[in-house]
Amino acid sequence: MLIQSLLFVGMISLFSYFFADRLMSVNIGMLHLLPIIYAAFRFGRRITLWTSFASVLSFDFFFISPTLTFTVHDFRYIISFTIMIGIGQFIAWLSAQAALAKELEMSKRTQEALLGLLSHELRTPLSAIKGASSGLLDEHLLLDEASVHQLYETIDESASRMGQLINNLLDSARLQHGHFTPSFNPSDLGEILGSALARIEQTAKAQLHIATDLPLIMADAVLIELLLVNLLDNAFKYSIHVSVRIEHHPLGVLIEVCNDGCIPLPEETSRALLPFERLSNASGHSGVGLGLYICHLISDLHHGTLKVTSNNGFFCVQLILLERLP
Amino acid sequence: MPTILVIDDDTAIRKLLGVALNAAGFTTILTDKGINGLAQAATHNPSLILLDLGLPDIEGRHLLQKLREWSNTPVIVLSAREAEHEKIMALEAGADDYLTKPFSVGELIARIKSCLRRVDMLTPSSNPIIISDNLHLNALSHTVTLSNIPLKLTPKEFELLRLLMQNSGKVLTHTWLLKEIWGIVYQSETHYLRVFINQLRQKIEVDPARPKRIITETGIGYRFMG
Repeated sequence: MLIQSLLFVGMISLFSYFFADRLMSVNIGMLHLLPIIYAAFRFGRRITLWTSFASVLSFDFFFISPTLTFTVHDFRYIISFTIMIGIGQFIAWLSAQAALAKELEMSKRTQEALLGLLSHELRTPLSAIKGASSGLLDEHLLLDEASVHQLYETIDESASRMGQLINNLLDSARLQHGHFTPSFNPSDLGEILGSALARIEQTAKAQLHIATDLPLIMADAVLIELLLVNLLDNAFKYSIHVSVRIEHHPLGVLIEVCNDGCIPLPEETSRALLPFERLSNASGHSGVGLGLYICHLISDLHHGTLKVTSNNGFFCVQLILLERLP
Repeated sequence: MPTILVIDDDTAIRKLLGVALNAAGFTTILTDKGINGLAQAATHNPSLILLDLGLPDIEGRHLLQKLREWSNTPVIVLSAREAEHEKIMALEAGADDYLTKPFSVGELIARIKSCLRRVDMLTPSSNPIIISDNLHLNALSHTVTLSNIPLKLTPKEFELLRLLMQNSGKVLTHTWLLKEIWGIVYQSETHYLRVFINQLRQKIEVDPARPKRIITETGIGYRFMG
């Protein structure tokens, strides 16, 4: 970032040097303000400060007589230099404020969405549990064995659903806020897939295509298992035809999980990885849209690439994990 | 009738465990404090202890260490989901198994029974032949057969399988396995283990991609299901 700004300063000075005979020193001064403003907009106050110094010194050295020295013949130039530095700092401060406001707006919107979803997704199973358990405890109700069983089943299913949601919320919070250090170890993806499958596969089985002699990759096995569980859970939620492919990739290993249900619209694929985003045709299935977001966070922690694609009626999530971390 | 000591500070969980364990035919002693738990363990000599790792008065690891100074009673710890290091610490401090909250009662009873069975079998100079379904391991002649067909195992593979089968049902941590087979220097070389487990699975599992015998406890270790 600093290098980029300094290059900009250099370019401006070079340009001014060639056209020096046609420009007034005020023009050149103004030109030297450009890299400062650029840095202020993009890189924050510290880099702006360094850029300001570079720009002012370069201006002074090449264009203020006596040239090729850092001395100035007129003390008033010092005022110009101070103003240049001040403007840089002021703009950097303004753009930091703007970014903060934007972030606040975003987090407010996320919070609202979260609250709406939570109240619905947590309250629905809770109501079911409360209803069923109070029904079972009510001495005036005459329930036959089948209805009693059904009420118990409702409690069990609703509790699982709530549990899953709470897990997802806690996982995303834990991963998002960075106070979490993954423990990277050489890991066997085939093995991790095996234990993820053991947790997910119930009635339907996924089709597996696993390449032989896969390299061990540096990864946090617990997180990668969580990622795979989320991908598989998603895939099985919309279809019983799920396939998993693990193969060699120049950088490490590629994993792809595909299903033939819930195909996103092309414009939706880019949003699929954001928190609380759900595909337009996902309604009717419970969930708050955290699954792929968690996968995305985990992939980022591993410097991996996560991509959502849809072609020929298949919805696929592709993940590339590096053999060695950078 | 086996007696089970439950140490958990949550009243609802304690109540639930009491009902469920009684229904499964166990006698229960319930307590909410770790210190009381230790005293109960000394006076009643239970067959098994269920220990919650999040006790307010004493850290689970310390309680385990204290208990292990004088008792071999099997311990199953109950812990939160994401606390892998906590589980490993508990296993290394002498716990026999762990269950992640929330758990189903069926799973809990199955784990307790498997734990008690293993303790019964652990008589010294036990049978050198360990049998799990169609897989037979003879520790004396160093041979393994699958459906009566001899398997070719390298010495390290054999050693690994023997440890796993001898501790059938128990979680063996990566560190423990590495120390037993390769020695103390190799305790952190988990990739050695991965390679050998993979080779073993190719030889003894019906579908190595979905292992049913050597189960991975991700981030913790392996468990043999007999």
